[in-house]
Amino acid sequence: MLVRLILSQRVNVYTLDISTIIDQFLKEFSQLSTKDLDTLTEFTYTAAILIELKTRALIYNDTSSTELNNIDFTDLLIAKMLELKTFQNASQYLAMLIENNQFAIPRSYYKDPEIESLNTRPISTIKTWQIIKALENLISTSNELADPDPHITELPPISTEEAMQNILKALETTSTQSFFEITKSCKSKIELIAYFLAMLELYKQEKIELKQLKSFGKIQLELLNDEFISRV
Amino acid sequence: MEKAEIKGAIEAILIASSDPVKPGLVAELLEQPLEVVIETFNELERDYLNANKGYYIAEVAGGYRFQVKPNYGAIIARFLTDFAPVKLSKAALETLAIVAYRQPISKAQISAIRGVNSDSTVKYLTDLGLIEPKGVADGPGAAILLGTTELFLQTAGLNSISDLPNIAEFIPDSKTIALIEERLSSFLDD
Repeated sequence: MLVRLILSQRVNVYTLDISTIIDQFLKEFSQLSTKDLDTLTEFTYTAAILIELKTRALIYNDTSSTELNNIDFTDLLIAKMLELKTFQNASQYLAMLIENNQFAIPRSYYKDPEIESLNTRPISTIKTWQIIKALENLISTSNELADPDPHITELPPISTEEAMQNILKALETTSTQSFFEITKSCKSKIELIAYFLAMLELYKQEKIELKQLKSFGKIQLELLNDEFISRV
Repeated sequence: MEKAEIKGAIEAILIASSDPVKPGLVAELLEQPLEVVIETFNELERDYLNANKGYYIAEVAGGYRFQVKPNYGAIIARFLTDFAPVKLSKAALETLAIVAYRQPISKAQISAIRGVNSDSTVKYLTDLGLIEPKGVADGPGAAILLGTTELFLQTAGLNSISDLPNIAEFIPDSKTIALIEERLSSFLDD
C-alpha cells in the first residue's frame, strides 16, 4: 500500500506527516467494498514504516555521524519496495495467465465424491510377489469357489436330527446360548440351515424356549428342564 | 506395435482420462520407447490443432490432455452448470507469484516480502490446491517450505514452472525505480 500511495502521487512522502497518511488510508479504506484482515494489517505495517522513517529522519538530522546508516536504510527500503513491486507485477501476469486459461476447459467425467475419496488404485502399493501369491491361492482354491450347479441341491453335511442332538448337547453345559454361538463352527450355508430347522423342531417339541428381543437380533436358546415341562 | 496403433491407443487413453497424461506412463503402458510416444503425442497435438474441431490436445502440467478451444469455452461454461472459474484476490495472486518464483519458501519469508501476515492467504491457496508443502527447512524451527502444485500448472495452462517468464522481466522500469528513490531519499534527507 505504501508503494501504491507513493506511486499514485496522492501522498507525497517529502512533505508527509503521519496524520496525512492515516487520513488518506481511511479515505481509501472507506471506499473498499470488502474489508479484510490483510488490508488492516497492511495499514498497520504502512504506519509502522512511516513512523520509523519519520523517527530516523528526525534523529539523523541532528546527528551527522550516522548519515551512512541513513543511506543504508534508504537503500534497503527501496530494495524491499522494488522486490514487492516486482512480485506484484508478476502476480498481474499470473492473473492474466489464469484468466486466459479459464475457458480452456479439460475433458472431464463425473466423479462420484464418495468413490473419489476411496483409494482408486488399490494395487498401487502391492508388490509383484504378493500378486503372484494371490494368483496361486486363487488357482488352488478355484474348484472350491466354482459356482454350484443350480439344478442340484447340495445335501447338508449334517442331518436335522444330528443338529438337534448337537444343540441339546451344547445347551446341557450352558442352559442358555445364542444361535450364533452354537452355529459358529458351521462351514456352509446349508449346514446353518440344518441347524435352524433343528432349532425350530426343538421349539416345536417344547424342548427349548426361543427369545429374540429385536428384529434381526440374536436368537437366544434356553433349555427347558423337566420340571418346567411338567408344570406347563 | 504399429505407429497407427500407438496413435489410436494414446487417443483412447486421452479420452479415458480427465487429468493430463504423462508420456512416461504411456511409454510404460504400451511398452514403447519414450521418444516414439512423445513424437506421437506431438503428432496428435498437431493433427487436432489443424483439424477444424472444437477441442484440441494441450500440453499441460507435464502431460497432455484434451481441452476445449478457448473460443468455445464461454459456451461450454454456460453448458456446465457447476463451472466455476478460479477467481483470486490481489493478495492471493501476490502470494502465489512469490511462491511460484521463490519456491520452496516458508510462510515467514512470504510475509517478509509482502510486509503483511500471509497465513490466511497461504491457507486459502493450500485449500484450493494451488500450493502445497514441499519439505522442511534445514534451519532452526524447521519451517514448512511451500511450492506450487500440478493443479497450479493446470490452472495457469503451464507445462512446467520453468515456462514462467524470468522474474527480471517484472522488475519495475527505471522511471518507477527513480520515482521511488527520489521520494524516499528526499524524505529521509529532509
